[in-house]
Amino acid sequence: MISMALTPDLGITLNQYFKMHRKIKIQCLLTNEKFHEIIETYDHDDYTVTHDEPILFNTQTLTSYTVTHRKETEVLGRFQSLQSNDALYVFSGESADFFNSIVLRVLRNLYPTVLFAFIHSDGIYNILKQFEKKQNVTLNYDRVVRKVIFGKQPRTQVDWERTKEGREYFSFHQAFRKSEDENMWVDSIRVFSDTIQSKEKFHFGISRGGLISFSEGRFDVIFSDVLEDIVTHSRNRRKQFKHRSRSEQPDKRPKPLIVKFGKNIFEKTETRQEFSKILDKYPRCSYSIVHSGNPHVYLSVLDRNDNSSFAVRTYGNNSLLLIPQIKTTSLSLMRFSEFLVTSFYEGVIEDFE
Amino acid sequence: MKILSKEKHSAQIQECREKNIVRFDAYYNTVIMSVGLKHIFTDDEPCTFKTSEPSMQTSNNHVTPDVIFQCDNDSRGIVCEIKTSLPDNEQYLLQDMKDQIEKYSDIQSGWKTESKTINQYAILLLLYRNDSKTMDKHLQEWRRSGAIVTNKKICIAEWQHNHPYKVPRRDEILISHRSGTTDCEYFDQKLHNDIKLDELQLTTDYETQKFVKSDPPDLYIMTILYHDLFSTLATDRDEFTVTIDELMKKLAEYYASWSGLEGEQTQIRRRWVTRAMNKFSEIGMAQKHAEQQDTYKIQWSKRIPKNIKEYLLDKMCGKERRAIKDDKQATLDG
Repeated sequence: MISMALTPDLGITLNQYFKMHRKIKIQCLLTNEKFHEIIETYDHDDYTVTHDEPILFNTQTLTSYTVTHRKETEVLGRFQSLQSNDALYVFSGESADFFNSIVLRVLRNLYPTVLFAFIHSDGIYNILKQFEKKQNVTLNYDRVVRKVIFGKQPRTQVDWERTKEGREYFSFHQAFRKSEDENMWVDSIRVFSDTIQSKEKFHFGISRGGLISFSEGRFDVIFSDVLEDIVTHSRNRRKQFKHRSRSEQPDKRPKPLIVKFGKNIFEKTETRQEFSKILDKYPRCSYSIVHSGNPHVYLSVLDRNDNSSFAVRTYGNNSLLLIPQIKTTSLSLMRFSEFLVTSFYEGVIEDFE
Repeated sequence: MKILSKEKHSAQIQECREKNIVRFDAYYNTVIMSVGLKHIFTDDEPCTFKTSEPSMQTSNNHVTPDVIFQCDNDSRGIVCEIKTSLPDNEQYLLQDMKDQIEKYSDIQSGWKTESKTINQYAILLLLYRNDSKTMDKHLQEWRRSGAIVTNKKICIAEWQHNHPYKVPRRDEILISHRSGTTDCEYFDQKLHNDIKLDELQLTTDYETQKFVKSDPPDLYIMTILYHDLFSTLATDRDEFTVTIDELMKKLAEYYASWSGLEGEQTQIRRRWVTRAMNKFSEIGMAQKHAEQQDTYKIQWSKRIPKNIKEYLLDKMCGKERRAIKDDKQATLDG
């Protein structure tokens, strides 16, 4: 794990920046390129992105960017990047609109050179649990978005605890327990430290897509106890998907991954048949249903981004196999596994022995 | 008149689609089954799977059964033939079976013994459950009438996926006895008790052996070529060129690794690939090179619809929508 505690100078600079803004959005990403060098080489449709001279703090680079409208030359906003090796954090204290509709769009445009971090519900839970322990605080939640996508009643449920006047806030643990009880997943959650029990004030939100909304607290703490963990989690997941092509194996045999769901979701034939249609919603892919329903589902998937091919097969009642073919990139497997999580069911991915 | 014509066209399309899908499924299931046959006996049982697709000598030629088993210290043999699907026409089926059974009855050598011979052997026909009854009925008649003559014992076994609604559900294949005998008590006993194959054990084996000896249906091989082979040769452009040699090399490297003890391999025939490539050309997804032999330009357009197998079916059989349009045209012409 590459750890990068902020240098004191950088910590002070960022803490000041964060104090100046009421709310800051931070997107965690991964890239092997120098972000400030590549961003200007891309065509961002309606926008032009320029950057100031990067400021170096040991191995960390802090850079400011200005986004202008290509035609109207109007400055739309500014954002910053903090990069150390492959870990990249892009943030801005400007409006949520600017961040969501312009900065994130610019970042998506850089795929696959720049990848969005991704973390499972369980990962979010572990980060918050560790955060409580390390900072000796109690975290309550005031907003949670929970989702269930697959099945007869796909739904997204947003709970705003704050709107319920006179009501006590509850520990974030409860939000996760409730989700589990209702077969849902926490897609994003906003927590704050209980000031009666904790000295330090924190108020921030985390989403599975690696987006942090930060409104109170010391940035250096959030950085080391939240952001870095999200990137580490994503980096480890990425490693798991690497070198899977059959062409890369000495014996040319497939090296599958197994996605364990922990529940017998494939028990019913109807669920298996429903699952075989899931790829209709998967963008930039072609697929074929090789076998459907009885007793298993076997799908061939072709990722049109980089012509990667892999098979997806139900394995027993509670798992799926991702079976790489002759050429299967880590990006294609990673993209599909994120699709599974966000469009189907959350599972734990392991090597299939 | 118009309604009749529309319905007729529609029915033809439906029939073509169903036929292709049934053949595709039968082939896929047969591959899974043949992969599974390797696992039906453990080392400590008196019968063993010996090899797949061995070359065995007859009096004046050679035959390649799907699988051979040897039992009771290699004193008894079983020549196993997996029938993917049965032809609709009874005469074709008779011809096919007569030819096969008579040849299999004349195996002189090729067994996995020191002398390459065996004291006695029987023939095992393994069919999908829906076909086994038909085969059983016909075979009895033909043997009675002398249309098929053999001095070997014949056993018919049937296989099926585990019952879809059985709870708890299992990914299993069941092989059961239908009629006759393998002349090997242990094997017969095992068939009478139903042989259960855990499909989960076979998942990675299927990946390296997607073909059996019989010709794959066009839809089956085309789906594999498109998904798993073209994708390795594709470039950023909308078109690229492939040769039959290139495809054969990759198929042999990645899909022919099912070897028996003697290292025999499932042969992927060049004619299968040539036929599939010609089919791609026919339906406009490839273009045969005018001068260079066995060379094709693949249309790898990003506009290709999502579901490749469905798209191939549409191209091979036509679509309902097109049927209506054509029908309108026909009515206008008429």
